[in-house]
This record gives sequence, structure tokens and C-alpha cells, in this order.
Amino acid sequence: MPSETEKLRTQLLVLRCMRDDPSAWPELVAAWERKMLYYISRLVPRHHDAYDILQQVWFAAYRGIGRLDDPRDFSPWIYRIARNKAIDHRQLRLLKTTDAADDLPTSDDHAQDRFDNAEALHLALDRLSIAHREVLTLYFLEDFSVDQIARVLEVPPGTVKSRLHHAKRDLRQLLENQENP
Amino acid sequence: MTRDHQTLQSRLVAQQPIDEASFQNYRHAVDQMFIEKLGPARRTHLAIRILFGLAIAGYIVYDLAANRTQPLHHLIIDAVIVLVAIVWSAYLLRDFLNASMDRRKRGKIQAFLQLGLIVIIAAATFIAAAAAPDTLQSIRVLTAGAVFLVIVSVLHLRGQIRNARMDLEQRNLELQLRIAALTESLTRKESHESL
Repeated sequence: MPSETEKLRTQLLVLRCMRDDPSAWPELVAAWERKMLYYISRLVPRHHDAYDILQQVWFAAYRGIGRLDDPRDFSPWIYRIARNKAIDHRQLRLLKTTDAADDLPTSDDHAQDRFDNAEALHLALDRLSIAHREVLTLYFLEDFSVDQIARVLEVPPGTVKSRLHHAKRDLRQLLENQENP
Repeated sequence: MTRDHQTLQSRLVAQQPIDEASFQNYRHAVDQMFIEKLGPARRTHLAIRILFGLAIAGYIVYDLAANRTQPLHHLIIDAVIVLVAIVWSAYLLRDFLNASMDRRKRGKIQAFLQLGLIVIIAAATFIAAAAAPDTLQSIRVLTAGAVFLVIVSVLHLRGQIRNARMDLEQRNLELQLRIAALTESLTRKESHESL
């Protein structure tokens, strides 16, 4: 999750991009490409495709950044672009549907989890369903609020809460299985 | 947000294997996305605009050479038009010769052209009003010019206001960033000393 300084640095970079500062774009791309690549790679099965999609994401971001009202909205906005490009690329209809389990009531356990082992987490994420993998990737990469995730996924906040709950449960199960095979 | 989480995020991202060849291709493509390649149609369009700018500049210089006894304000207005036309043509000529256009510079060029357009409309209005045979005709020309000027100026001013607002916002963010960086380093120092 980005620190306060990182968030401000991103906002400043985005603002400079909005102002057509030619030196700001390479900095913004360099600061965000690894995270975006990680996220896109979780959505598309072929890692090779992620580079093409990432390229399209920057192109769309470049063309659309002038319409962004507030630099603080950049983070969910760029993830939404990435998601839509991945959907276009792979025709991932799965991402646009909601599971029946998404509507089940859940407790809010947003702040109680500790997942420390990045390697195990990375391996476990790839074994989750695509919808769960996506919501958890956003959760781990950006510490988005439920509303922000809902904006990226274009689903109601209730669905996000439910998806997060079930995804964490599955993830815990997978991690336990990895530890005690 | 904790530093643990930050570390987890960077460690998680580091788990993603990078295919160097694909990454270099992607980087090259991203660098190139700011450069728009100009096809024959765009280059012809550019050439017409360059010739138009040079023709305006050439005509005014020729006119000045032919009528050297013009009032000072006429000379100043003509000089401004020639300057705008030459700079405009030079900008376009560079893109024409390179057969490509840097999209990142387009905003600045457009702002310059907008300003140039205001200056040219104002100059043309004054010249036409001065050349009018009577006062009524002069007023008509001035009114028409003023209407055009108001429309273009409003557009230009809106851009300027947006720029000024963003400038303030940028300075504000720069200050906030400095404060946040200082606070972070102080906190780190304090926690280091307490250990």
C-alpha cells in the first residue's frame, strides 16, 4: 500500500501530466508500471499479453487524463482502465458477472488480516477464482476502500464486501494447505 | 497504512517475473506512443498550413516594403502578425520534416496558436477599421472584431484560469509532499533513537 508521501508524489505526477508536462509521463509510467503489470497479469492467463494490455492502458490514460477532475482519483481510474482493457483483450465475461455467493451477508473484517509471506501469497492468488484474485490483488496492492474497489470493478459496494470476505477465506485456506500439505 | 503493508506490496510486486524482451518492447512502444507518425495526408495538410503562414508573413513584408510611410501602430501590428506567422510555420515545418509530431507538445502549440489568433484578429480589426472610408464603417468593423475577440478570449481565458488553478494546486501538493517527507523522516529518526 502506498504511504502518504507516495500518494502525494503520485498526485503531483498526475497533476503534471494533466498540465501536459512532457517530463512527467515517463516518471508516472516508471512509478506505476510494475504494479499495473502485476494486476493485469492476475487477470489474463498469458503473461505475454499483459505487456500489450499495459501499453494500451498507458495510451488510454494519456488520452483521457485531461478529463480527470481530481488527481486523487487517478489510482482507481487507472485500475479501471486496466481492467476494461483486460476484459476487451480476453473477453473476460467472468469478471462482469457476479457469483451467487457475492450476495451473501458478511462481517466486515477489512482491517483484521495479516498476510506476511509475499511468495506464498503470490502463489495462492493464482489459485483463486479470477473474481476473488482480482479483488484481493486490489486490496493488497493499493489498500483501496470498499467504495474504491467497487468503482474499479463497477459493482455495488455490498458485492465487493462479500467478494473480499469469501476471497480472504479461500486465501486463508490455501495458505494453510501450503503450510501443512 | 503501515510500513509492513508497504513492504508486503513491494515484495508481492517483485514476485511477478519480468520477461526482459517483452518488457523492452513494451517500453519502446510506450515511448513511441507520444510520437504520432504523420502519413502523406497529414503532411500535405501541414504543408498547406506552412505555406499559408509563410504567405501571410511574405505578403505583409512585401506590403511594408512597398508602403514605407505607414503610421507606427500599423508597423507594430504588421510586425506582430509576421512574428506569429513565422513562429507558427517554423513549428509546423519541424514536424513536417520529421514526419512525426510529439503529442506531449501539442497542448503548448495549441495555446500559442490560440494567443496568436487573438493577436491576429485584433490586428486585422484595427487595420480594417483604420482603412474604412467613414466612422460608421469603422465602428461596424470594430464591433464585428470585438465579438470575435470576446469569443476567442473567453476560450483562452478559461484555459488560463484552469492553468492558474492547477499551478496553485501543484505548489500546494509540492509543499504537502515536502511536509510529509519531513514528517516521515522525523518519525523514522525518532523510532530509530528509541530503539
